[in-house]
Amino acid sequence: MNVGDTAEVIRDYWSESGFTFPAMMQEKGEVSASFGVRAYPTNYLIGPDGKVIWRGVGFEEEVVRELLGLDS
Amino acid sequence: MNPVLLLGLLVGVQEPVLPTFPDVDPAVEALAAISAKIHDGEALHFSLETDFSIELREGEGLEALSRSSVEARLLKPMLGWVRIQGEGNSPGDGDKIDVTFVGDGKNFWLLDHARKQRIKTGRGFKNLEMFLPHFLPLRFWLEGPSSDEKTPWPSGAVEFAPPNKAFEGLFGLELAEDKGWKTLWLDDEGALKAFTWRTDPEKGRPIRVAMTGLDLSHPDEISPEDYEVEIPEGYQLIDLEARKSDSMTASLLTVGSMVPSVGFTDISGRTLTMEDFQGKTVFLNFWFYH
Repeated sequence: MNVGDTAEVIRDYWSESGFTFPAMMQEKGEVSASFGVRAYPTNYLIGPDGKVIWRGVGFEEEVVRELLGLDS
Repeated sequence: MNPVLLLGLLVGVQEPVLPTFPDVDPAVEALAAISAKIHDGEALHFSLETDFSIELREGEGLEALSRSSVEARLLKPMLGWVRIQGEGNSPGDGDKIDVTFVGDGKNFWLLDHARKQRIKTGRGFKNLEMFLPHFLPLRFWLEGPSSDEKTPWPSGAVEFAPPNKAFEGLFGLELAEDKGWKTLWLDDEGALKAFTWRTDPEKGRPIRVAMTGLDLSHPDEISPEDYEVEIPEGYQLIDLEARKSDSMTASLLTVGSMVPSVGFTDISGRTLTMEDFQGKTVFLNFWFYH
C-alpha cells in the first residue's frame, strides 16, 4: 500500500524489484487514515474473517517471518 | 646576459613546473581552519553568555529577548554535558531555563532542574540548536560525525562579513544557507566570539539573532571528572522515545477488530476493497517509495 506516487513510478519499481505480491496506491493517505497509520512502514496481518491478527510499526524481518510461518 | 643562465632558463621552459593556484576562497579557507581546530582537539570546552536579541523589522533595531549562560564539557562527540541557565524577558511568563544536557555516548538526557525531571531524548543534542550556534564544528561535537560534516563549504557560500560596530576588532565569516545567513565573529586568533543570524528579508521575516561572549577552547589536560554528571535523586524519568512509539501505535486498529471497508487502486488501475480478500490471510504493508 503505497502513499502518494504515480502508478507509472510504482509499476517500474515493482517490475524491477521482482515482487510478486500486489501493490496498491493511495494518493492522499486516505487508506492509511482509515487504518490509523501514522508512520511508515506499518504492517497489518489480517485473518480470513477480516479481523486484525497483528499490527506493528517498523519492519523487523524476524517478527514478520515468524508471523507468516516462514521459519518452520 | 650570462649564456649559462640563459641555457638554464631554456631547460626550464621545456619542462615547466607551473605554480599551482589553489582555487580556494580565502573565507572558505578561514572557516576550514576554524573547523579543523575544533575537530582536532581531544575535548571541547566552551562557555558563552548569550543575549538573544531579535529584530523583527529591518532598521528597527534589536530587542533583547532572553539572556542565558551556557557551559559545556564535551569529551568526545556525544559524550559530556552542556549546562544552560537563563531567563527570558517576556513579562509575566517567567520563562526561566535551568537544564543540563547529558550524553553518555549512547543515550541523551535532559535534566530539567526546575521540574525535577530526567528526560530521555534519544540520539543527539538536537534540542541544543535552540540555544547554540549550530554551525559545522559544534555539530560534530554535539551529534557525532555525519556525512554533512565532511562536506566542505563551497566557494560562494562563505564570505567575509562587512565590519560591524557591535563586534569591533572581530572579523565575520558569513555562511549563506537557504534560510538566510549565519555569521561567526572571530578574533584574530580564530577564536569564535559571537554569532549572528539573519534571514532573507525577501523570503521571510527579517530576524537577527545575536549571541556574544563565546569562548571555545580545548583543555591542555583532560580530567575525567570534568565530564561526569550526577543525576540527582528523585528526578522523575520521562522516556520521550517510548512515548513517540506509543503515539505511532495508539491510532492503529486493535487486534480483533474488523478492517474498514475501504477501496483502493492497484498499480494496473483496478479498484479493490478489503472484502475482495475475504477468506484469505492478508499481510498488509503500508509504505513509501521515494
